[in-house]
Amino acid sequence: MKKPILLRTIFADNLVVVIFLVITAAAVPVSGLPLLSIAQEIVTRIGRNAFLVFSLILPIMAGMGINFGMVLGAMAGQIGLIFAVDWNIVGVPGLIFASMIGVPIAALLGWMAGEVLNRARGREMVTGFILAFLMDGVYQFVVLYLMGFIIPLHSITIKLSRGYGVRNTLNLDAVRQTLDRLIPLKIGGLTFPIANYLVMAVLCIFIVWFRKTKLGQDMRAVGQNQVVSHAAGIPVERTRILAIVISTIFACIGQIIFLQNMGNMATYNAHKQTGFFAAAAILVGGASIAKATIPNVFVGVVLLHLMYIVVPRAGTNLFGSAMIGEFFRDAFSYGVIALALVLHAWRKRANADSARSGLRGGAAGNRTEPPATIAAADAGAGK
Amino acid sequence: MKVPTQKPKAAQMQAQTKTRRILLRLALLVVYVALAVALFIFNRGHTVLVDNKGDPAGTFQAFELMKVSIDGGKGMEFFKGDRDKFTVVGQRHRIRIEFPDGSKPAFEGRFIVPLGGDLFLLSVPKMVAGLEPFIEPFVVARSPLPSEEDALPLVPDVPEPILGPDGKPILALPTATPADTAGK
Amino acid sequence: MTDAGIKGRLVSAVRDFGWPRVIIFIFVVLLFLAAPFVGVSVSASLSDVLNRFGQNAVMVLALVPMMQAGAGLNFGLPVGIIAGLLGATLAVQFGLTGWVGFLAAIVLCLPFAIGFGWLYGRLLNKVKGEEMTIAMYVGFAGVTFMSIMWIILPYTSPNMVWGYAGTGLRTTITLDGYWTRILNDFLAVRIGQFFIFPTGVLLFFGLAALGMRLFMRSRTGTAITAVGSNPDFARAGGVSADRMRTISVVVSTVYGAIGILVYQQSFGFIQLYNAPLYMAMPAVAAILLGGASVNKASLVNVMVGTFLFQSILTMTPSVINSILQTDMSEVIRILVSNGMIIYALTRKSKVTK
Repeated sequence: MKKPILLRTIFADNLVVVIFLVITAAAVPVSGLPLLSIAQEIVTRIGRNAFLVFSLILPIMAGMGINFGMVLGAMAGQIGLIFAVDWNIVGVPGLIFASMIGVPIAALLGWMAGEVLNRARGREMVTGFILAFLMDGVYQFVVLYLMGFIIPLHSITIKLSRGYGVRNTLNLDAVRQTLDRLIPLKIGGLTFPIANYLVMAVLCIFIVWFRKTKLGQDMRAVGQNQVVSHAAGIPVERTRILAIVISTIFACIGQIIFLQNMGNMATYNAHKQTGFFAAAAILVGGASIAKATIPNVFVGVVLLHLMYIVVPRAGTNLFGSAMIGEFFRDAFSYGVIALALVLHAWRKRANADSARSGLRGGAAGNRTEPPATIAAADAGAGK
Repeated sequence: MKVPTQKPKAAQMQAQTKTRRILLRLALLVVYVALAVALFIFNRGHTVLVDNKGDPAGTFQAFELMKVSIDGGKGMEFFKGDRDKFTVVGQRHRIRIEFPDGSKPAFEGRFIVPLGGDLFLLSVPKMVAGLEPFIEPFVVARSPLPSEEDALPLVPDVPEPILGPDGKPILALPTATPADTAGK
Repeated sequence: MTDAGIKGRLVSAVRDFGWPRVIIFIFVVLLFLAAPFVGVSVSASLSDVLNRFGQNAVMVLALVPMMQAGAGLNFGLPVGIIAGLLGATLAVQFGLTGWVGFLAAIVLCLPFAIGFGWLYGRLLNKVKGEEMTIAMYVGFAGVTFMSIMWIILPYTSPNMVWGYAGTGLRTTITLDGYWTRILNDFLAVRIGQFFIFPTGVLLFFGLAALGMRLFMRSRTGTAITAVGSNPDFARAGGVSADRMRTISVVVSTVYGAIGILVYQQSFGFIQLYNAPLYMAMPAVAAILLGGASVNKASLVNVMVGTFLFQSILTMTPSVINSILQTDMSEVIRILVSNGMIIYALTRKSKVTK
């Protein structure tokens, strides 16, 4: 009786990755792009985007689902960059300066977000999503109206002509690609941004170490079962808030790394799709809402960006229209997220149902299930 | 009714740890701010316009030909009346003037860029002549920015363009608001 | 009755209704009061508000069944909107104008709305507990997928396709000469210089609201409410929760489709491609503003909420911009609409999942 269930779970676990792999692999030859340029793009994008995706790991571990509120961290990073550019702080020190301004803001925003999410138990993801929109309004208010007015800006060139507010596009020449080029390594025609990779390696080490600390263990426990953790004396609310705070801080730094590679910042739009892309990446990498590992991040970034590079071109070649390729790429990404969410919710219900029918002594299910599991399954299903 | 209290010694130790923790956090805060300030001071970029123009009042003359290099960087040649720009990071800098036509020996000097300004004018002839001040803030009449870059980014009732992970709008549709195309 | 008693009742009534809502209500009243002093005509504004009310109210109405059924806020409204867009584009394709066109659009969108709604409802049933996020992404995926369809479907009407290529629908299609403002101007009453009462569209909303009310009071409707508020009781009564939820989703999608048709005729344009992506948000914000909670919504919520929300959208640009000499309407809109949704999502309700 157990074997078919096992196969089904393995299949469901990796369905998203498999689908993505198949479609992307099929599109590579159709796109007609040279493999070397694809590879170079992927190498660069890992250095650029992966940090942002890492910020999603901790909230997933703490059982809060996808933290769409990471966008708040991205906004904090952007504010840091605005000041760094305003005062023309150059190079990697400029990035560090921007982080030093952004991180405290991110911590504050993360704390607030954590409080809000704690009040919306069971609906964290939707709330996070809407919270991102709300804070976008606050960000616009601060950057478009207060900056240059109440918040002093030094350089005139970044202000709008009306005298206050920051311009639509911010030129990041002062820090453009400075982290990427810090330690370049050329192997076989590919340039690797080693500094970025080093930063990410440090982050990975941090995450691995963090999981072993008391706080990390607490987070895991809270993620598995809030009731039992609370009974064990873990401060559930505070732990969840801390998960969000750390996540937001990572998002802040990640956004700064992202933008230094772009070289240009769309002041009012740069943060808008950050949450979506990070979520898509980690889900495509095989993570679920309840479980995410470091390999998920890398696999996801590679696959998602491979798809983004290759599919629009393939669409153009197949259908003669670039737009179709791009729409397909978007529909596919949204669809994959929806699929991952559906699979997860469906499996959670299936587990809860089989546990419940086991309790009732039904045909399927184990009569000797210990109570803790059922309570856990029920608590999990109640989420 | 006796409420259980800690022994005085334990309470004292707790107070000590608490004070120690506060002091440590204060120290960390000071270090953080100091680091930020240091980054600010030592990594601010400035643009220095270098002049080879003479003083109309005649106190110093421009040179026929000179080669300027700042902080050991690549030298730039200046004919009489030329002006060119250097970007520098930080406040203290070395400057070396060479005269390829051999009219004078090489001149080594130092200058300090004030922290607050962005753009400065350094007159080499004035500096070589030993007159002060040879470096001054340079104020530029603000050129009007192109209006489309200036447009308020908020347009209600029109959906915002969705940006892909490369920063470009996903759909280049005609009714999209002026989107910023980021360099890849 | 003592003073404390009345005051206590007032305070608890306000707390029930929610402080944010009261604040926004007072804010709107202040806007109307301030209007004449900053040179904004109250009658013109009121006329505007009524127009926008009619424009949006049917879409807000669409949220009611799913909220009552306990399926959460229908962030997947774009699914219904797509069905409506199909109906509208088909009607234009067949060259139907005026009343015939508008009614044909309604008739044509129904099969799509029912079909999409049924599929969507089946999907939601499998994911009880996480509907809202999934609804959002299903909506997004649907809209972007339809964008591909708009390009490749064989539309030929010259009013709709790109002039140069000859195929593929344009991003916005004007309804000039078709059925622009056909409801709004129907039986409109002009009072004074600035005030036009858009009788037609308000009548239509009345009809739609009546339909919703009759439906929610019917046997199916009460079953839906039972499933949402007391699932065990409903199950004990032999009601299939899944079936009721699917029906609620179908009704919601149908109303969403009709809602976008009403919106289009008032707005004057059919908006395709990415336009429907975020259209659920203002509707959700409106109904929550009117006093609804995540699993309970009434017609009063719809009407009060839409009126208040559209008042803010109409009055803020004119009044606040005159006072502050700057355009802050967008920021205010974002703060108010999303703030309301967050408030509702973080409120502890009696029936939490």
